[in-house]
Amino acid sequence: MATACYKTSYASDMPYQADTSFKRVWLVVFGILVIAVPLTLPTSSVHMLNLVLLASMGALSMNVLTGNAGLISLGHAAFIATGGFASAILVTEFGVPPWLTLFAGILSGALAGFVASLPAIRVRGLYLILSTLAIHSIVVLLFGEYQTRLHSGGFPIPRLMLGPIQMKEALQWYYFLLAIVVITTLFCMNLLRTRVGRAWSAIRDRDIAAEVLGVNVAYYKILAFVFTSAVAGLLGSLSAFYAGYVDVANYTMWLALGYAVMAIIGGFGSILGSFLGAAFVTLLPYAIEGLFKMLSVPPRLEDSKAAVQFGIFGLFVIVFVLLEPKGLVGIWHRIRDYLDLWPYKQRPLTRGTR
Amino acid sequence: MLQFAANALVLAGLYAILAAGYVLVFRASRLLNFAHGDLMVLGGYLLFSMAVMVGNELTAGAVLAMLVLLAVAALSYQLMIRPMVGHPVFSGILVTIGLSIVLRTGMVLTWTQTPLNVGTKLGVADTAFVLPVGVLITITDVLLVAFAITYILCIHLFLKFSRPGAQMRAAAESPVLAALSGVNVYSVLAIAWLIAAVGAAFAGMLFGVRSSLVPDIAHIGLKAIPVATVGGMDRLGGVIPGALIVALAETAAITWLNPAISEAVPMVILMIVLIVRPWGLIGTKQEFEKV
Repeated sequence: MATACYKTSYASDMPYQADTSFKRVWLVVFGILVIAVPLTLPTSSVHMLNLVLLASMGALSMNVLTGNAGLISLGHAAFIATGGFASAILVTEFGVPPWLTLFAGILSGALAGFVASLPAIRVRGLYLILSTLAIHSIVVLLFGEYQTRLHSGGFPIPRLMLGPIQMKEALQWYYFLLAIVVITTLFCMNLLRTRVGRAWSAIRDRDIAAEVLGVNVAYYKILAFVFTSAVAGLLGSLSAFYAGYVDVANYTMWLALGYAVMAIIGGFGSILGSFLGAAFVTLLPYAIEGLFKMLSVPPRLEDSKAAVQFGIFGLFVIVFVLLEPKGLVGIWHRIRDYLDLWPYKQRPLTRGTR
Repeated sequence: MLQFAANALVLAGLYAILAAGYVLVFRASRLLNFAHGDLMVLGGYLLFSMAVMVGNELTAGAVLAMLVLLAVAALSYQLMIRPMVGHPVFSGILVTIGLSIVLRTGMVLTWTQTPLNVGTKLGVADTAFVLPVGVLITITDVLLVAFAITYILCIHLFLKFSRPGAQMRAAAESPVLAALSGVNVYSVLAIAWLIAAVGAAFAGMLFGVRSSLVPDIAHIGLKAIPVATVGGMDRLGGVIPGALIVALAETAAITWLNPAISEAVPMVILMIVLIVRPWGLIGTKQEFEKV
């Protein structure tokens, strides 16, 4: 009597199972679309896609940290700032080639994550949120002091050069970011199905019980912070080079909240959810702007467009948390199950492999 | 030196009022209300608008502003906080953050980002006077400290000697057992929320008369979170020593160090407390473990 899912081969444990022909065809079609479609789009659309890709890296790391490992953190902006500033300082002060500073961004993010993880060993839940809040404030203040002493306002950094190619077209950035995002996603997907991912799930559900069962909770908590902060540091370096300048005023609490909201709106703990949430939150201001153009809006609202976008963002946060806690992935699963199971309504109980 | 102590005392009064609000809401629902700072600033702005509406009358405007703010707080409780009872803490915190964003946007749209000094706009002079010991303070400073002491004392007496107060303590300790004993946990949470809003409104009104209001000044609310943590999130009595410690440190940083660095002083204190003694000065370890 099968009471659980037993995978009998290593291949069947891979994170993405292309077991039906539909899935295989879809994988190929999706790959072709992702590679070919941006060639036909205008530069502004490709720029939006780049922003979504950058945001999805942040959402992915935030989702892994909070949704999979259960460590709620509002300090993500501090790690992104660390990566961005590390790259900027190395390039402007020490003349390091820009592509090398991407690795510096990863390392510095990992280091900052290690420091931030130390309170996590002792405190949980709300107090962890508070400690990440404190770390965010302190780190941002330190970088702000550095910036005001040496430069006023944001300081520009040279363009990223990958070998002979100088990255300045949106399309070049798109393929570069696509490659990085694909590698990061595969990394996360595989990490989640190994022992590390299982330990994180145990910690998320009940860390005291995990400790009793023999999981080294302190080690895996530190590992969660270090890994996700490394990804955030890489994101910081990449977005610094993409924007062409670094300014501490960009790394606000709202940025950290934006990534947390991406994880929540997309779906806690799911990789697909990170992408959906990142796309939603990144494209929301553009959608609101388009909506403003379509409707005739009084000029007073038109002036404070940023405030209105911000307010609608807050409304969406409240609506999603109250009404759809599983996020966009939950909505997608409901639609998919409805289409999958029709005319039945529920999955049969004896199905053991899903 | 005494001037420094007076400044610190005034700042401590402000922090104590805000921290008392945080502690009350935390005890009733385990939620940290990130919108507390915004409620405070909203109180200040409402004082201006209500006073203008009734023809530049300060006291009538203050009463009206308090009523409107209580209505806003009750509405946000009913729509956002009440459905979050029993949900994981992070969802509740995100809802309060969403509320903070919505309130901030409403304030920016209604009163714009230009600094608004309620005192000068209404023609109310915040008269400064010099105490016999040579310290310069203003009337609002005295009112702030007096209100802080009265507010916390009243809450303490309310919790200790009145029936809803006892119910609130019971619900804070174990909501399930309290509900089984007939305590309406929802209305207890509503009372705690409204008391916190009253404190925030008054603090906001005094702050508006004393210095200019900008919507972004709500980050003072965030600076008051370390005060609640230092004292102990579940004990009201820790609010006063916590406020004194944080205010003294911050005023010292403003006076003798860089004013820009003083913004981070409460956060540094928060980190130290979380590393050394996370349950605060007089908080109980059991409450901390339950999180």
